Amino acid sequence: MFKDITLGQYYPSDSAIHKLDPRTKILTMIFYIVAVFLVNRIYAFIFPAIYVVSVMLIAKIPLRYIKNSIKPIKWIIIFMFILNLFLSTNVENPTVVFEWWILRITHESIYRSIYITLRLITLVAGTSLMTLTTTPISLTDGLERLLAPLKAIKFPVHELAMMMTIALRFIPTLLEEVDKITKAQLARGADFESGSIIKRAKSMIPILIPLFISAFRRADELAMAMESRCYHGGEGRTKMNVLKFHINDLYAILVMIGMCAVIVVIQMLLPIL
Amino acid sequence: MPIEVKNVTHTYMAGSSISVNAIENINITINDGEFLGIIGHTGSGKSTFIQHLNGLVQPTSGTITVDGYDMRDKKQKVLGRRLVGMVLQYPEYQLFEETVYKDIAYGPKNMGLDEKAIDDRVREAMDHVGLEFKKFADKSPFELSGGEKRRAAIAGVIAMRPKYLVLDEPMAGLDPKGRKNILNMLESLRQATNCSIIMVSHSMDDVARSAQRIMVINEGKIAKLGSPEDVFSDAEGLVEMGLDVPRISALAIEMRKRGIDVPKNIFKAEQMLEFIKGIKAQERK
Repeated sequence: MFKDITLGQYYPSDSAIHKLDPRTKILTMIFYIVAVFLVNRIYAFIFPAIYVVSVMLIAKIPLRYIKNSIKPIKWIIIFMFILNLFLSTNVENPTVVFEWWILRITHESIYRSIYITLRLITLVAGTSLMTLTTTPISLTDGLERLLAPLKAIKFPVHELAMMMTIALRFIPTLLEEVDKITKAQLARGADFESGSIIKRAKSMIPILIPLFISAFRRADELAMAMESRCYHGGEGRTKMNVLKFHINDLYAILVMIGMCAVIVVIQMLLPIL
Repeated sequence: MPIEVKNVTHTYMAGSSISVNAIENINITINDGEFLGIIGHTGSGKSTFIQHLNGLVQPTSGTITVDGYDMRDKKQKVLGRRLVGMVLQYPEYQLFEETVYKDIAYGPKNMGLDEKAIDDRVREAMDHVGLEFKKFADKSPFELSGGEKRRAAIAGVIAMRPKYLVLDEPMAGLDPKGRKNILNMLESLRQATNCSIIMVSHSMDDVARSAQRIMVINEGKIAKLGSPEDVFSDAEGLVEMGLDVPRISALAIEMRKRGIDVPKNIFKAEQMLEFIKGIKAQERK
């Protein structure tokens, strides 16, 4: 029942993209989002699309993973498409294609729907590149370093990163636990699938209570184990793997900035569609 | 009627490039009232195998029938599952109710029994596992000691009066006294109710002591199946598979290395004692 939940869709492979510094990947992802929002002509979506495909090829990730990353939001995309289709645009004298009751589809609204859909797809496909090529642990590592300046205002950066790391680390463990407890209660004749919503919600109690108890127990044991190894927060703590920028990181950021520039310039020169 | 397992194979991640055969082509008939021990080291597929017995896991190919109920069929599975009680590893982590009584009553309640029948079964189950009704019925399961929790959890399964009781490492993590308690309890339960017991264990000594038949699983396949005498007579073979052997068999292996010809069928302390006494008597002559 809970087996379909996958968090962190890391795709292991040995590529230049995978080896980039996680800080670079976070930064390029932010630039990428900016680039997608800079696009205001449909044809210009070709640039983010080329970027995503070429990064996937360099990273040796099968292209079907683009489809996989879009799948979870397919209903949002469809909903947005239909909503925008009927939303009147603020254009004078719109070209009406279809009209019935209060529903009206115009040339402009069709254009808008396609535009919004492409924006969503390129956004999700591009940002999932980061989770595909970076392990959750190195991601939090990169985040910790990027947020380090916030320490100046007493923001607990290290603690936040540690909490994220622990939470990510325990997701598979807890899922395994859920699987085990579910099996045990099924063996005692539990029924999770029939009956009204209230009855089904109640039938989860025999899973949730043991799950919470074991989560608290684990947290307690982990805290004890960390303390007995003299963990006392981030102060004076050094890293086993220190993050270092390489020449490839510079190239990646330059490519990204270049793409933003190209999008802006091309759209200025070619204001069609 | 027995549990019949025919050509059962289970493949994890079937169809993908990383598919693994957890168990392969398993055939066994588990008879009424027998005590079957299953041994194998971690990752050998023994846990996967026993979860097939009540339909928690479905075979990729092959059939399992419990008293004639086909466990692949959704409706028959529900009926078959009632006959097979399943105690998974560390069963105390499934306790959830406010009182021990309510927790043990959970299974019988799910079977749709009335109050009176549930009460009978809870008392009976607590009696079987040696938890005194007066003292424990109204206690919270979380106040109990480790061993008591374990017994309360097993009682929750026994209360369903299974014809086959499957236990995955029921003694894991208990002290020697706790282990002995559980083992004795299982043996007396089997004699009192004539149910079959299928027990997975790491401890060869426990299996050697109680089981009538032993199944050795190695890399997903049945490596050996037979009486303890048969299985432990090849102690060297078990060691080669990376398994432990009963302590007495280990002693016998060492003695054989040192030139004492210990018979193959010795794996219990009493037998070894007899044998050593025999040697001593000969020496005296």
